[in-house]
Amino acid sequence: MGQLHDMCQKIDAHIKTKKLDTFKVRGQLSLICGFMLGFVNAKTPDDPAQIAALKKAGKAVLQQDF
Amino acid sequence: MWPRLIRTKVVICIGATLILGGGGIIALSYREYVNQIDRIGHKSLDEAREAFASAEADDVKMLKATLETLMSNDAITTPFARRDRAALAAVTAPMLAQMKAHYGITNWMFVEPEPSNKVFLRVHKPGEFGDTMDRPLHEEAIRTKTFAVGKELGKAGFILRVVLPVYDAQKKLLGYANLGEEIGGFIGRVQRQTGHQLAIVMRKQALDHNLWSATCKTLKIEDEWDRWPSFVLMGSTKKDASFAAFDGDLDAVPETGGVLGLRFANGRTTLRAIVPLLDDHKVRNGGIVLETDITDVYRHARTTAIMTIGVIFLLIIVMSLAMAFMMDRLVFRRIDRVIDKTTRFVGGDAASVIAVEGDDEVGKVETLLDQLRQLFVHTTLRLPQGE
Repeated sequence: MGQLHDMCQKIDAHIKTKKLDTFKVRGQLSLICGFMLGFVNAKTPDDPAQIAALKKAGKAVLQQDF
Repeated sequence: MWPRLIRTKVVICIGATLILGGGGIIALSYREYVNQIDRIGHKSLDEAREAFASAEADDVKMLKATLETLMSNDAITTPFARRDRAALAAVTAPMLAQMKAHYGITNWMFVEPEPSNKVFLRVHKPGEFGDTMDRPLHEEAIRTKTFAVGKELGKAGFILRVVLPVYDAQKKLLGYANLGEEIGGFIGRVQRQTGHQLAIVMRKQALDHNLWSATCKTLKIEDEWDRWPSFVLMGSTKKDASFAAFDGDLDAVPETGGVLGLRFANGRTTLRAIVPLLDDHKVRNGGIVLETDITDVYRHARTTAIMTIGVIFLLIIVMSLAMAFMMDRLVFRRIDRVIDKTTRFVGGDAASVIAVEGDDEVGKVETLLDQLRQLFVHTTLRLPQGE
């Protein structure tokens, strides 16, 4: 539990470190994943499909493995 | 490979359409220019041909009138009737000298009646007689028993000839007389009338080289037999007769004449044309080459053509740039902004409003997406917290 939320937090940290446009990057990731990152919190259950989609989106948009 | 972006495709299509359209206009302009040159050429041909025909007709009248008058003179018909060659030559030679000096008449012959048809006297060459006259013009005079007129190809050039049956007071046929004039003299008159330069060229194969050279010597003119491969210059209105060079297929030239093309020499642009000359056997053994100065017309046409091409190219560039700019401003940049705003909204920026920048096709998309955004915000706010 919480793997999806952890990934989102790592992504937010990466965006902050790299000083990227938060809304734009989160928007791009959300559109590729098919769900809104803004709705992911600590209580959000882990969905392997969503986790895989977010990993793929992270690679495509940020060229990073999360 | 076909480009991916609509922007690139549109620019290529606009450019291609403008280039094709511009190319079409240029092609039409060039065709009009060629047609104009062709029209000038044919107009010059018509003028020269008509002027030549007119000069020929005038000389035919003169030759007929002269021959009729001569043959009504007993001093001429009497020795002819008596077949007294010496007496006939003695009376006619001074007359021919006068006619040659004043009217350009160079040939005068007397021929015995059929069936003999033997040449009785050549006044211009008294030593040559006794050969049979079998030229088509003579045969026509025999057949019609009246004037026969035409151009004959002699051994040294074209002769305009009139043939007339000669009778005595008792209406007995004494034979035939003919007068001839070399047609080189016409071209001077045509040049003065039309302003075109003219030259007469003849096929070498129709001439006798030795006779030609002898004639040139007699007339004290330059023998230019070797000047061109297949044709020889018989006369020109211009000292520099290089314009008259013709080595094409005379048989392929239309009867009314053909345009030979442009010539650029000494800073002038001229248009050349040729009208075939038919001899009494209806064979094209020569031609009249004419030259028309079209320097001003050519310069104007060329300048117009260059300016047209320049303007069209400029137009293509300007229109391509203008259309690309408009497409960029009205469509592509707005699409980029819509994508940016929508992405940001999905990324959580609730304040990311999609501005509707126009009441057009893209404006409808902007309107729709912003309405969806508002719907989403409204729906999300109504959801219980935590869901």
